[in-house]
Amino acid sequence: MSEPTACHNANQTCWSCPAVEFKGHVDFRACGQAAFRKAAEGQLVVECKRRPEIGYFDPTSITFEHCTEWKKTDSGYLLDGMRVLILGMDGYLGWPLALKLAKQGCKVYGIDNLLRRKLVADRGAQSVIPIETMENRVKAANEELGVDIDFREMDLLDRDALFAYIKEVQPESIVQFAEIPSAPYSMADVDKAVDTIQNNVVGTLGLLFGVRDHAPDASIIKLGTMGEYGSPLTGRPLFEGLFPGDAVLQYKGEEWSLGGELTPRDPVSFYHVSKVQGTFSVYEACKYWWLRSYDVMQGVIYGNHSDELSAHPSLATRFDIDEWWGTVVNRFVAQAVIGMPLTIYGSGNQLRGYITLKDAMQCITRLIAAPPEPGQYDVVNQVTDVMSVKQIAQTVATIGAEFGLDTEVQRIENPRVEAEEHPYEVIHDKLSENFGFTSESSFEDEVRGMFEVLTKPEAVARIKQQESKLFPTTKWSGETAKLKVLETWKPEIKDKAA
Amino acid sequence: MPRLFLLGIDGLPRWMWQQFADSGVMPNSKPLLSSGTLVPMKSALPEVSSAAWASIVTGENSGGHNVYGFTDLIDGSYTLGFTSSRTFRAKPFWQREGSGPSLIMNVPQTYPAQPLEGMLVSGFVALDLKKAVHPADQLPWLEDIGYEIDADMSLIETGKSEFVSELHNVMATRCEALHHHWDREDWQQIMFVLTGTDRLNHYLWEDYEDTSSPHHQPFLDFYHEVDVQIGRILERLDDDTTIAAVSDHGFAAQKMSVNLNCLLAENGFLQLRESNRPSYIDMLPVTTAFAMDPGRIYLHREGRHPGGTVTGEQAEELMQQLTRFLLSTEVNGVKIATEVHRGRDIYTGSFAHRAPDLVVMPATDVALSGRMNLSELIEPTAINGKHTYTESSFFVRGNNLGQIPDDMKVENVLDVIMPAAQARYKAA
Repeated sequence: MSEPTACHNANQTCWSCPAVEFKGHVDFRACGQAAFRKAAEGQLVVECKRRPEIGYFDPTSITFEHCTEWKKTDSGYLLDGMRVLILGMDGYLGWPLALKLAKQGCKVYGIDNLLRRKLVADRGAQSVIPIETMENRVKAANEELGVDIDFREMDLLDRDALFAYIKEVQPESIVQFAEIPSAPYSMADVDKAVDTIQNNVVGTLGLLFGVRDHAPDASIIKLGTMGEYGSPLTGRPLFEGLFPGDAVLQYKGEEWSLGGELTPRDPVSFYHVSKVQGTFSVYEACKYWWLRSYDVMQGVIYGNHSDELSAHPSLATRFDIDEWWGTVVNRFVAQAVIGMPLTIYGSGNQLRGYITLKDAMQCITRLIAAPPEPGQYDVVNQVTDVMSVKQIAQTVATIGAEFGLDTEVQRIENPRVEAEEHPYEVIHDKLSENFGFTSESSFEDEVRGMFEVLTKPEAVARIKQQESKLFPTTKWSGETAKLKVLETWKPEIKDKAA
Repeated sequence: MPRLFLLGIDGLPRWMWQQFADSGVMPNSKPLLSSGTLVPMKSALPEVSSAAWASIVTGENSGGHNVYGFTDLIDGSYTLGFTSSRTFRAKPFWQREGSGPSLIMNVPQTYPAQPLEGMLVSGFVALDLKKAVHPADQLPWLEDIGYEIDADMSLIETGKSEFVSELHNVMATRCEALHHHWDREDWQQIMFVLTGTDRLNHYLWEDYEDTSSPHHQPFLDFYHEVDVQIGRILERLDDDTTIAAVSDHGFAAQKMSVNLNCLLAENGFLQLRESNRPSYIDMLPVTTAFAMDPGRIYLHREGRHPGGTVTGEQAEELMQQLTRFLLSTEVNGVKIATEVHRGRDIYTGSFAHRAPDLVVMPATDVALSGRMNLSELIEPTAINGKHTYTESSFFVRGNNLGQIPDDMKVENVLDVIMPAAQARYKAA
């Protein structure tokens, strides 16, 4: 009972809160009760696991703003001491998220099988920014940030262990980052493709059963990728996972509503196929079991800092730059630092959505703070900028010049099967309109920050140690011939003062 | 042999029981009713089961036991809580000193089950059987026989036949549970409530009235089965036991369900902010009055509600205005209310300050609701039978009974069936 407030989730109700347990429907007009998931009508009845003294109540009659268990934070109202389980906590995203949530007062739990460390090492590559063992990271988080993080070394596919941990933790939110995140890795050979599918698809599917049986009220934040959509040549906008309510298909003179249906997926590698399968698995689980999830179609991520990561060097997250494990912006900066041409695939006119690590962490935190309702599946496109690869190369070269670097750009034969000239209209409204997201970092500033770190002698040395792994070799066709260089040029650097 | 057997038959009108006894639908009831006294009884205000059963088992009105409906706002908030044994503030007769071992089954408003000397299985609303049974060691047996607190109301969407079949199944299991536990101990008093009758009346009243309906005979058959169970109970009792049988309200046809909040909103008393799932928390401070099921009107009072703005000085004029408005309002050409009571005039007791400001008595054929979904003034519903304030049933046969008042009400039941104990309780 108040005027609308600035917090994006102030008016969300207990119906979205993972701390309430659904008990059933009641129709008081007929004095009766009905079992959960059977009654189509009737008053919702819940009990609060945190405030049992309220007894049975109507979950729509308490908002986060008015509940004593929800506290106002920079990310909106956040369930006090919310138990968040991060799967893949040792990864590029998992670790900064753990720190951010812990700092915000969440009780953070996590698992990781440390596979990423192994796969990067197997490739002969390494994180440019040295990272601590998980044991030391957790210790450093405690010493530097004063937070406790519970980490278990565990494989997502070890379902007995995973389910036992879920049962023990009783998470109120579960973040699924525990996937192999590389398109070229998934295309390198049959073993790697199968590993990707096995880990990502089977891992997520198993997880859903664990959530169903042991933490059905937890919100699932599932990391997808913008690559699930592909880049439709028709120019059809990339809606946020589902068609808007007024979308219509015209066919043979008749109109058919598409509102609320999943939009088409057109994955661009077996890795992306695994992500699409994950999307369908989560979508179905929400439908079958009334689980709840936000599926996050994340743009290409880049950057290396957040407030918590910057608190101490031992808190750093990994920063990969090689062909398989480094994302394009990160790799370009590393290439520029060692004087290697920035390698563009094909025309370089491929358009993609991008977001910084820091912004991505803000988005995920806001999603965790504003859980979906039971049974709700929704999708957000987690993107702040849409740029062509050529534009990115130009900007990296320009900012590199500020650091005294003389950078070339090189077009090479495209190892992938993808459209190089295509429209690309990304709809990305929900995070800002519904979740209060405002970008805290710009592309240029983030790139500048990366140059500051990567031009340090120890970083330069670590890049040079893996120089041979930066130039792409993995062709989607399976051929092994070296990729041809099509064109090399030096971007024009405009005078900054001008 | 128990001293008292108190049978509840939810929603059975006095006149219907007598009629069914006379016509042979309920043959066991014929000699029973002839052997004692059956009188019409008035229900609680408003005529809602939760409040009425609470009055029957405590001898208090809502001001004394704090149950005004199935829902209530938690003090100082807009949280819509469901009344339960936790908010039920007067002692039911089985929890009083010297009451002796009691077997209490399916009495509404007793969830979660509270400790007592004896055994209790809660009645609706009780969505978790595990918390509905005391002592807890009796739970596995009930689970094994598939005991259900209530029939699954959603089956009405499948069909009336399926729904009635469910009512039969639930009643059969409930009666099996009664006799099983009755055999276990030498209970001093037993209270056992059948609730399927109320559900049947809500959804098949039109079939009862329409003798050509294919569901007319199944309606009568259900009451026949209720009577069979009454006969089975009577076989186990003799003249040393006081037998009382009560219903919590009467029943009549429902032709239209009117949402009072919609009416209040349309006429400027209630204003909500935009919300996907409107609830009391969405009321704007300009709201002066709002309703709760079924016919409770509350002034949005300063000091009582977090955003309330109606002052004590404004209250009297507002209540007069609302009373005139409610008594004169017609929906689809039909008056919706016959009387509007002031809460302060009809409730007494320690919790009378929590009472609604006004209680609206619906007109014939009209049911009232207080839902916050303001989309439809006339609510679509499959329900075609409604509670009535008058004509609930009170039957008693026994020794050392109190006098039955001329204006018998639910809160007088204990005065009649256990006058000495109730007098001692009141004196204490």
